[in-house]
Amino acid sequence: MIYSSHSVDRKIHNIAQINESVKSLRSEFVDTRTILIKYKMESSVSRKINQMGIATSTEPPVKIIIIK
Amino acid sequence: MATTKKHIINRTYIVSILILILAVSVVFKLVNIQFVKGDYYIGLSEQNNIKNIIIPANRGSVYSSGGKLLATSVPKYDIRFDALAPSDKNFNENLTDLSNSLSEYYNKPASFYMQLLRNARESKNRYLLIARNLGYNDHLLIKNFPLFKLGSYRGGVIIEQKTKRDYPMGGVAQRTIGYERKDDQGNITRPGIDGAFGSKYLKGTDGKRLSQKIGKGQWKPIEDFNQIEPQDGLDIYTTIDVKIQDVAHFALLEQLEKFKADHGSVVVMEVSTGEVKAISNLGRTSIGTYYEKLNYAIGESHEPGSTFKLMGMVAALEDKVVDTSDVIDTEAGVLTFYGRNVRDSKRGGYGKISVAKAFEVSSNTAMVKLITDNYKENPTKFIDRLYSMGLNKTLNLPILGEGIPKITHPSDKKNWDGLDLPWMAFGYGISLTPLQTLAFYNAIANDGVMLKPRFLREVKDFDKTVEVFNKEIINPSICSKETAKKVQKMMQNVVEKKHGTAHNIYSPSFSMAGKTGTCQTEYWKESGLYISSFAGYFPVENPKYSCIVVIHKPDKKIGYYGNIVAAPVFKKIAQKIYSETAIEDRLKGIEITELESENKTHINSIENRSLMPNVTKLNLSDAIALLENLGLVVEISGNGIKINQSVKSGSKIKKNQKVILKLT
Repeated sequence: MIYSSHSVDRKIHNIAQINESVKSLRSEFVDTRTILIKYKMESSVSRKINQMGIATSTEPPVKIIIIK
Repeated sequence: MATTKKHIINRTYIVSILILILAVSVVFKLVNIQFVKGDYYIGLSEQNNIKNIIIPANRGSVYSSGGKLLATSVPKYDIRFDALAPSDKNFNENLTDLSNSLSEYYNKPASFYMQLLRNARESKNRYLLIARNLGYNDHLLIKNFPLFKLGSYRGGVIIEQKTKRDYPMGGVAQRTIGYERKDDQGNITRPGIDGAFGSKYLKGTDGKRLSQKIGKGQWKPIEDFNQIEPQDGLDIYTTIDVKIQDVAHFALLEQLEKFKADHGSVVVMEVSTGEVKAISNLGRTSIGTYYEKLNYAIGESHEPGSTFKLMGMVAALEDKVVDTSDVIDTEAGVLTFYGRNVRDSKRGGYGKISVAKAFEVSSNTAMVKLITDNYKENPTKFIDRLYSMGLNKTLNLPILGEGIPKITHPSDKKNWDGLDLPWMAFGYGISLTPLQTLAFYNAIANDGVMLKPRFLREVKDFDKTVEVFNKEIINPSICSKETAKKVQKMMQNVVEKKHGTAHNIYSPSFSMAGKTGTCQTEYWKESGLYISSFAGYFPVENPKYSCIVVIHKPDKKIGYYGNIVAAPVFKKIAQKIYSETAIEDRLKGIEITELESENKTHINSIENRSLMPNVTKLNLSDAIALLENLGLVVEISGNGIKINQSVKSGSKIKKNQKVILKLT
């Protein structure tokens, strides 16, 4: 009885700890994702490559499809 | 002896009685506590050690149409400092380093932090705020600053965690994505999608569980029945397209900055479904920067000006009172009603022009004449026609705070006067929100089928679809197909023809159609304030997107015409979408012969993949591709056209081996 009560307590502390790390991992994920999205946004990519003298094309790509 | 014996017995009796009384009173008190006051004490102990713990449900996330996160709940960290916790030795040793680290992080002088920390220690501040609302990575960084990394007991760092709403896209579309916020008085504000669908989908239900207190501030569940499991909120997938949103946001921002305008909005809608692909609202701050201040596109009902000529034209064509080829005299550009003038923007007017051309050059006098000549006997007919097209009703949007359209009816004697009809013909004396105007333009592009602008695609529970939203038709036919085709042609000419008001945005490579609007605003306060707008759709054949751009109060000295201020934003969006959609060129019956390459550039042409190939004769991009496909790590140095490889050709290679290609 006493043993199982203590073992429950131990598990609860364990769960709390794991929950905490789940939260921080989730936070880290969103944080990193935010940074990624900002980098990936076309406006920020084009701002960077503009300095290198490259601009986005104003003409669409042409896809050539060959029908057999 | 006898007396002594009796004496002893007597004494024993007295002692026993005393003990008995003591025992009885102890028993009495016991019974009293246990049975009489028992409930009170049991309650007291339960209050301290047992309670119904609320298990909060996780709020659902908001995604874009492509599955990108727009809003989600994440833990955020506040960092505080207990200035008394560290020992003198630790404090003094680390003070300089800590101040330097903080100053580097915040870009403030180190002396500022040194003073701050010293003062806190002197005034015995055990709860000094260092940073608020940090993300995980930043919080980790600060946690590892000198002194702080010693932990909470020796270093005095206090970390508090709260769940907050985070927006990975930053300020983009923030007002439309929205949030739910409770202030100190308990009033809840709910702007945007997050607010509108918050209580229905995102919120979830909190769970409850009877728990007992155990060490370290933890609670352990007492019973495994009688509890409510928390149900996490559902995720919502919006119609917002991150790419189009990005273009729209920055195109609008650029134009607002260029014209120093007060505020503006842009909305892009998919013609056939009514899905809002992008919505951006930017307002100016006192220092001249812009941010998503209010949802102008949805909330701000204003006089539309010339973009309303489309509605008038559709009504007149639908009532068959005019046709596109009828000729109107613009009367030297001035008309007078009750002593007030209607003027054309071109001095002297346009002479005698056709109805279609009157629209294309946006002649005020011609439009006013067209409407007043045909409806002055019976203005009710005109207004009823506008009403039947749904222009007097809101779009019934789920997002709170939609502006209410205003079009006065002649039966409303108090507000109707002789100026209403002529002024209405060129968009004054009435009011619509940008989104309501756009819904009408979208209907014209959609051959008369009016759709409700939609923000939601579906609701999901993790990967399980709960609810899917389909297009909603407000009015299956606001006008006949013929009328729609006629005005479509006029809108096309506005951009395409030299005389069109928006010919400045014409591009030979892709087609656009629309109508400019330049109208005065707040003319009752001061003159010279304008609203520049452009509404339309693209491409002309098979319209895919409709779009409205409204810019309020541009600096008159720089420009204020709709075609100069607003239309370029429209063009930028159209051009972007055009240049991203590949043109398909289908070729029939062409024989393809593989070109014989003298260099072996493909991995399949390598016979022995454990030996280093010779790449000195390849061009650099082929060489990198080939080596990386072999599992090597390639590094490039120098400039030039000749390649020197650091690993000799023919020598044995391993996976992830580094190869340096030196260019000379």
